[in-house]
Amino acid sequence: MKNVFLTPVSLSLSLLMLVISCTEESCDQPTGVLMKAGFYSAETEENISVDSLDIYGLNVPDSMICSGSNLNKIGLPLNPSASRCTFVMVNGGRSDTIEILYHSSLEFLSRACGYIYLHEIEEIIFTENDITDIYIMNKSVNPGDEENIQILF
Amino acid sequence: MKKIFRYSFSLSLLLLPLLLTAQEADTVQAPKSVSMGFDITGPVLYALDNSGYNYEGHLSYRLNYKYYLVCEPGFSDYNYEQYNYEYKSHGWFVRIGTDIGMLAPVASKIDHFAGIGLRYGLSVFEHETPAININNYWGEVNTSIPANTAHAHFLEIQGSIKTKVFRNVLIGWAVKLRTLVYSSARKEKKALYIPGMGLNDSSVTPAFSYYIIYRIPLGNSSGE
Repeated sequence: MKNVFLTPVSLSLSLLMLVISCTEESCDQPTGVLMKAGFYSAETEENISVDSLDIYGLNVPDSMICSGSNLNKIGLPLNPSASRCTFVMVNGGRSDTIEILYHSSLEFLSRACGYIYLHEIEEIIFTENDITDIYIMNKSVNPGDEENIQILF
Repeated sequence: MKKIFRYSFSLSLLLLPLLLTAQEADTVQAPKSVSMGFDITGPVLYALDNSGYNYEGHLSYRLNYKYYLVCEPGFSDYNYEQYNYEYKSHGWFVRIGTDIGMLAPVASKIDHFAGIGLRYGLSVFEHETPAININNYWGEVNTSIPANTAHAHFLEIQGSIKTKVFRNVLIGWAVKLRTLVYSSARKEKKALYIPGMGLNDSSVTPAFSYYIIYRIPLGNSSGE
């Protein structure tokens, strides 16, 4: 009598374990941590698209972070090994530098994904050739979608 | 492939106590007893995949046909490595609680057990992340988290079957669900693996044990 109830339970559990054992572990969480910057009009403060934009890290001109047209936002990678990093932004021949001061902290995400660095923005220093102003909207730089800074032209 | 073999092996062991349970006994006794045993899944898994081991014992005191007091001490060592980090954890643990039998107190079933168990678990362990490699636009960052000691508390509910195979010797298995209540290891030092609980990667951690147990009857008290 007992076997009538117990055997199906055992078989189900065995099948479950077999399925689990055949399932490959993969990271299904976002792991890219970028500082999200949106472009805005200094006059209307509305989100705008920039016609032509090149962005690279200072002293790494051969490696573009972004090169395109009609962009209204970008993601900038901060350097976890340093407490500041500088980006060069070229917009239609005019260039500006944006220096970000921040501190970084390591965080464990999951077994499949491992560790990521999160950042906390402390200060932003920038030139004003094409850029009018920069507002810090959210100091926490994490894998989420929330905008960190607004760049006004 | 190793995992498929591992679980196929488990399947055959899983069904063995069910077949043996079918053998009905004639004697009527429910003496108080002390049982000592161990979980063989840890050594078996270690033999198949030597990335870590888990050794745990099973001590229980039968109060009557229905209730048992249980203590499960153990030690485990866990190593995990993937493309961007390496993790190590080792430490001891103890789980205490009760088993509640669901079988009717009749002669044919008094030497067997089928029921549920409830446990509180305490784990004290040392863990470290000796290598972390993160790549981004600025290059590769290599860092590590040194060894640190932590403790964790967890709860467990289980369903188990144990059956007598010959005089005073039982075998059986348990399917367990565990949940973490508290861990002193947080943020970047979060424990990936907690000895006695298992992987700390979801709100509920499943586990499986297969026991070999020696039962020592205490006199001829009925225990009921």
